[in-house]
Amino acid sequence: MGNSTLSIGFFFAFMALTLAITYWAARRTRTTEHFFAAGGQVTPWQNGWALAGDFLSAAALLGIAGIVTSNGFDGMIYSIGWLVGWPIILFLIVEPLRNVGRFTFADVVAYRLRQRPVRLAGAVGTLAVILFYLIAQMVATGSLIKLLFGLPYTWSVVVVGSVMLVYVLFGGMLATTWVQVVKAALLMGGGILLAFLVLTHFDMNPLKLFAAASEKYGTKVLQPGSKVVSGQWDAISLGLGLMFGTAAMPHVLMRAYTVKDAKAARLSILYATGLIGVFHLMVFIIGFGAMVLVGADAVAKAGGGGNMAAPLLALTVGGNAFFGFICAVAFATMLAVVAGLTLSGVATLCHDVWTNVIRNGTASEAEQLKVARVATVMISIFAIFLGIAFEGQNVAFMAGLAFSIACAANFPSLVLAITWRRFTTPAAVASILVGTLSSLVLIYLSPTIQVDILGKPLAAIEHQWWFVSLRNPAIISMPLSFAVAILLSLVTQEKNADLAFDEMQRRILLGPVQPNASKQGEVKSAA
Amino acid sequence: MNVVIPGKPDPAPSVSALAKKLARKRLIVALVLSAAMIVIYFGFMGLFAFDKPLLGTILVPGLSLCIVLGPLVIISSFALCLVYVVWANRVFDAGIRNLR
Repeated sequence: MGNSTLSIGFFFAFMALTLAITYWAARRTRTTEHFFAAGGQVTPWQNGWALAGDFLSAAALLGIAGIVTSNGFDGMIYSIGWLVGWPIILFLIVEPLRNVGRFTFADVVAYRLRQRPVRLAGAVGTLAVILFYLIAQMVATGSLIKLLFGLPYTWSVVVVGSVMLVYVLFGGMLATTWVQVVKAALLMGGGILLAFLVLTHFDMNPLKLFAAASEKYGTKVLQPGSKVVSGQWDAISLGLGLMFGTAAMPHVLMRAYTVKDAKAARLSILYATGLIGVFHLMVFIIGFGAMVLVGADAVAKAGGGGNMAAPLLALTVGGNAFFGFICAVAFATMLAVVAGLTLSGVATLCHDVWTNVIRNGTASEAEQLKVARVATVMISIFAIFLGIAFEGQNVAFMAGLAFSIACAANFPSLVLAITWRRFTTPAAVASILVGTLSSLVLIYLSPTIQVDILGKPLAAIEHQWWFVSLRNPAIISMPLSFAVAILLSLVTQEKNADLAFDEMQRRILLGPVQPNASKQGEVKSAA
Repeated sequence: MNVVIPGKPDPAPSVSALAKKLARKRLIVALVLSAAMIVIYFGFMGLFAFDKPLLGTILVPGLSLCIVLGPLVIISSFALCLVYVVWANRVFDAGIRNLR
């Protein structure tokens, strides 16, 4: 398969650069503020790129391009769904998050409620999201690296897990941020160049590309089909999960804390939305390019469930060097995404569970850092272990499950905590747990697990009373979570939560109280 | 609630009243823009789910309605973000400075 020495060369260049960044960042990471939030010193522009880097997984380049190559337009349903959550983050979530919280989204939910139960429930929701997303990424990573570089699966998983461990353990958020920025720049550069090279074959006119595709494969490739998303309500449910799940992904939300203030957080979401939008438009061109120039059959034959569309296209339009470059970019992409996920899992374990639940908010800086590092090692080992354990399994549903849980468990409690005075502790806890559990149960009873994983024939289970025909649970689990939260809030009373509401609103507006009312913009020197 | 005493001039409304007003204004802008995004996106997904033939209308060779609308959803997401950020930077941040 092409020239793997070149891709390995590119990949080592990326590793050398990012490890140098980690070394530089390690010397600047001395407090939890540095470890989890890069000391709040990241600029909006850098953070916008880092958000794009955190969010654009290998699925965005390889996966969607592959779906477009084999199914045409339908791949774009995912592109759009992964983008429309960003405006929701901007309008409803990012400024309150930045002004009220410190490291995690549970900071905001627990702000006026009882700390321990809310943070524990928040940790369950967050860790479930991270766990499923991490497994999906690790398994995809292992099999893709096997395909791209010929490295054995187990080794691929171990390499990715260890390098991610090094980034997070030593460099914390500062290193992770820069790894994301470098990766996002490579991904955007590679994607734009690939799309550009495709268009040079079609007089720079995308319409000619689409016309060529429909001439070759029929107009159905330009029309919505029902292979990628089957079922009418399933499509709506998928849309809900993608939109509101994106708006509550812990590793995305955590980036609100890396910048100076709410205004900077707002700007970074705008930049990220632009970058991710442009990237998805490129991927659409790349997918159609692979369909016409490489051929859907050739892509399918290359294996990996269509994931080879973009690399093979690079080989066709740019030769061996470009193939190597795109493979290395894909590797870098996976590495960066798992690093971001791991860091947000560590923040939850250390800041929410250890510091605020076990130690009741009294842990010293040194102790918190130690716990954070132990948690980093634990999560990394766990990720490597699970990555190996799930080899060859169909885990595609796990990424969707992660978004569904984020949407049903995290989003309702976050929005209600910010906007509703009556919201209470039992409501928050129940909403998060019901959102998590109902997503898990619904997906277990759906064809995703029953037919695709367990291999039962659809006809045999279709008429069982417990059967759920929806593959995407969000349309049930998210309203359920909201309903539980609203009902329990109405039947319970919490005086402190009510009393603290005005103070929280003031803080959402003005940010944390600055000591001596110091002028805004003055950042305490942290070097 | 701010108690207004009739007859007494109130040259400087209290900070908390101004803050409440500003917070309310922001919430309305945020809700209107969120609603716009939700209508655009679920309008599109509704067509995708319930009226595939319409979305599949071929406009000119190489271009179908969904290939026009899909990128439009992406572009409008960014446009709505831009509207909010421009509003927030100009109006909202100025209001915050007045409060401080």
